[in-house]
Amino acid sequence: MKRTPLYDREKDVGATFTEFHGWELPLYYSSIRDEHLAVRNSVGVFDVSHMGNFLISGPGSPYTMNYIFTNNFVKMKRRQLKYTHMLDESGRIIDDMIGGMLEENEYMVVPNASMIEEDLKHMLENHRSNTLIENLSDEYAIIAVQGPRAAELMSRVVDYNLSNLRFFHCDYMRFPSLEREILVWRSGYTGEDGFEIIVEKDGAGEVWDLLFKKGEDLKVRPCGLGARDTLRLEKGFLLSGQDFNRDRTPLETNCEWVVKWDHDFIGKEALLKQKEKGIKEKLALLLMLEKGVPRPGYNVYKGEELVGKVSSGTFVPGKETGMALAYVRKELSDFGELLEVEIRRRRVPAKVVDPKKM
Amino acid sequence: MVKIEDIELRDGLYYTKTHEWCMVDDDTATVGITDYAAKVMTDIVYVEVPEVEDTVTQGEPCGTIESVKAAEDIYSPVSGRVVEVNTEVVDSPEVLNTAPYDSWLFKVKLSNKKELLNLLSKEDYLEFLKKEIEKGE
Repeated sequence: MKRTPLYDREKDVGATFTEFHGWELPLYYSSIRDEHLAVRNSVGVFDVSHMGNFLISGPGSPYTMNYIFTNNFVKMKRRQLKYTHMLDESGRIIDDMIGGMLEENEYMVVPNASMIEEDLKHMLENHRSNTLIENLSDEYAIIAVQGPRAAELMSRVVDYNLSNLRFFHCDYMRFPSLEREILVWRSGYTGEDGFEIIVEKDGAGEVWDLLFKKGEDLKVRPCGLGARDTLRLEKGFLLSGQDFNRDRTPLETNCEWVVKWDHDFIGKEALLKQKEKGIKEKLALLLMLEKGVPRPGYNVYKGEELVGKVSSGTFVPGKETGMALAYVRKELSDFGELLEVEIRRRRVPAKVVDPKKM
Repeated sequence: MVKIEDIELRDGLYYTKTHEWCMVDDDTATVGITDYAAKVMTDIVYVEVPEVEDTVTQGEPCGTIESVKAAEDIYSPVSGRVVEVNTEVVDSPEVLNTAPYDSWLFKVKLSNKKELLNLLSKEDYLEFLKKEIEKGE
């Protein structure tokens, strides 16, 4: 199994590891609950070095980006970030990721660990002329600093005025004590303010140590994949391979907002057809109204009728109840709709909720 | 990572390989989950136990422990009729995380006392746990 450059440090502070797509990664340190709440109330630090880094450059790179991705990477500013989907010809999602314009004609995207090879193959098969696509995944570590006090912590480690960096933007920042300039994205996967530090592997340990040294009074906690999953699910964010796996389109995942119809992209034709025809099922975020934890594969009912299936589900600390992403019949996917999830032969009431209000 | 030296075991209890304990008083067994089970699960959020008057069978699932990350069956260490359920623990399952031996789940009127021969002593359970933890590493 592959290990990140932070493995030894994580082991030293008591991480319980799990296998995740060929990587040995921290599942939790002491408690998923405490880590989840640290990110909601203060600040938490995640090692997400398993995620990939592709650099797309050259005069043809804006056209390649726009052809491969659903979002529009031509109509954007330097150092801006965008969340996007990447589709196959049939309009189904291959992967989702954040991409940023580092310079004119230079973009970085961060694909999911499980999809690095497949994504790269797809991109190399479909790029436009005068584009260079490089897989730098083995060269970088990524450290995510997330929570309402993330900016406070970051301000102590970088020589940079963070009020000049808005959410979903990025910049190179000097880390004075490390004598390094490092690429930092203001983004994340928790629904909180936060930063993703994209650092050469040999500098990852120093950044990690610095964050914990400077964040002691903020009670900064190392956080594992367990909390990463409860945090993203509470906000209704998709997980590649779990909520879609070459079987769903952006319309079905309720992500039409990442599809910009003003440019041509792979899968557009099929997607337009689906939009005309209408979709049958749509992803909904469910909040359980009584005791019980929904898990992937559980059935969703309306009255006696089977109307959907859970794709992701967990107990959410703080909310103190279960939440799920479930594909349900489109007409039953509006906010406020009351459904039931079958949990061990028991029907537990659930409500379709607005992720923005979670 | 769960370390063997961090796991609490109590004297005077019977243990199972599925990480339940029971304390036998005359013909009634009080059942709970072990400290190892609590530490491996972490963040226990729900517990479902059989109801009073239900019949349970040794080695058969009779309830569920649910943590943030997973659901696990509870296997009854003994056979018999359930005579009492600890509703306090059902209402506040988080006590299982910190005090699993003080948080019994249900009591069973034993139908066959000889079944106790199938259960582990504290020493044998400790040996079993050592092997389990080695396997996991």
